[in-house]
Amino acid sequence: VITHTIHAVSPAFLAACVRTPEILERWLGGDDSGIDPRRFAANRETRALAGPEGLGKVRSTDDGLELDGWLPALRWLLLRAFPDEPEAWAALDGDASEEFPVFRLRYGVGFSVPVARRLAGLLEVLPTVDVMKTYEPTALSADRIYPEVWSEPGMREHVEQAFYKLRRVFTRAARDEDAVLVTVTL
Amino acid sequence: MTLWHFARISPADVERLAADLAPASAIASSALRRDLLALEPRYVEALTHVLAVLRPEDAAALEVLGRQPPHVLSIRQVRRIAGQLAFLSARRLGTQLCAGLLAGEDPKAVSTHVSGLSAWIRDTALFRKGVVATLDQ
Repeated sequence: VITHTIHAVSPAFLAACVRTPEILERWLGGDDSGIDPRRFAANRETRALAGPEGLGKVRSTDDGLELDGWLPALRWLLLRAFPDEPEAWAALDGDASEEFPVFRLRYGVGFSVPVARRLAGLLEVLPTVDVMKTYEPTALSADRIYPEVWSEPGMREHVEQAFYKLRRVFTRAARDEDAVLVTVTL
Repeated sequence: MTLWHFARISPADVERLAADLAPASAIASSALRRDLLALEPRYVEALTHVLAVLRPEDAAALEVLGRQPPHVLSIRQVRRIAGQLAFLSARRLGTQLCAGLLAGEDPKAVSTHVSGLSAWIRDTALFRKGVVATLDQ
């Protein structure tokens, strides 16, 4: 099972994860009941890993967005709806390009503030109706993207909700000038 | 008074422009005239300048807006600009403009012009195909 979780974090936090992958591993290795971001940032070992630059603001994981397996499906939908933006949709999954230089981390993908804002801008201006028009359960299954789930009732609505949530997290990051961190659990 | 006309035009019109088969004014008066937005160049230039200051990382994408017309923006470039504008309030832009290149002008008028351009670009970004040309007229 692949679980994608999206968090808005401080640019310093993202930089620390890029610099020291163990920080993200500690974050992911936290208690399942939820990680207290303040305690995480204040932890002596975490601080030592972060070094003098520190972690900056670490948001509550309540702001996190569980995408489960939706991200590959959203990438698929977005690419069909707007095939002229392949780099942007690939970036959501961690594939970097010149325009979208994302950070591929050991267990996730990091988006700097400018890249997060660029993606947020795109997600903001593209009409949802055009994205959802491309939803085809049989085609999704044929492309081997979680083929067992799309024929179940209500899946279209779930995908649409996932799109709204994805857009909301990036939009919020763009407005707050936070970085965005997508953690991937395999 | 010189005005720049922003027009949503078809890919065929782009080819005609590029091949010098049609003057910009002919394109501007084509069937898409209802989509035209006319602005004095200084508003566009000032907006481009302010966006480049506020969003230096995307200066390259915005630079095309400030060039001398006629020139053509792809729908992807329009989306980039619309995306930048989506997170900047008209008031903030207006304040920046009146504090800079458009100092001394009526802030309300500046804000109206900038809001008009911003809304037009955002509307245009909804299109899946086609391009935008800025036509000197």
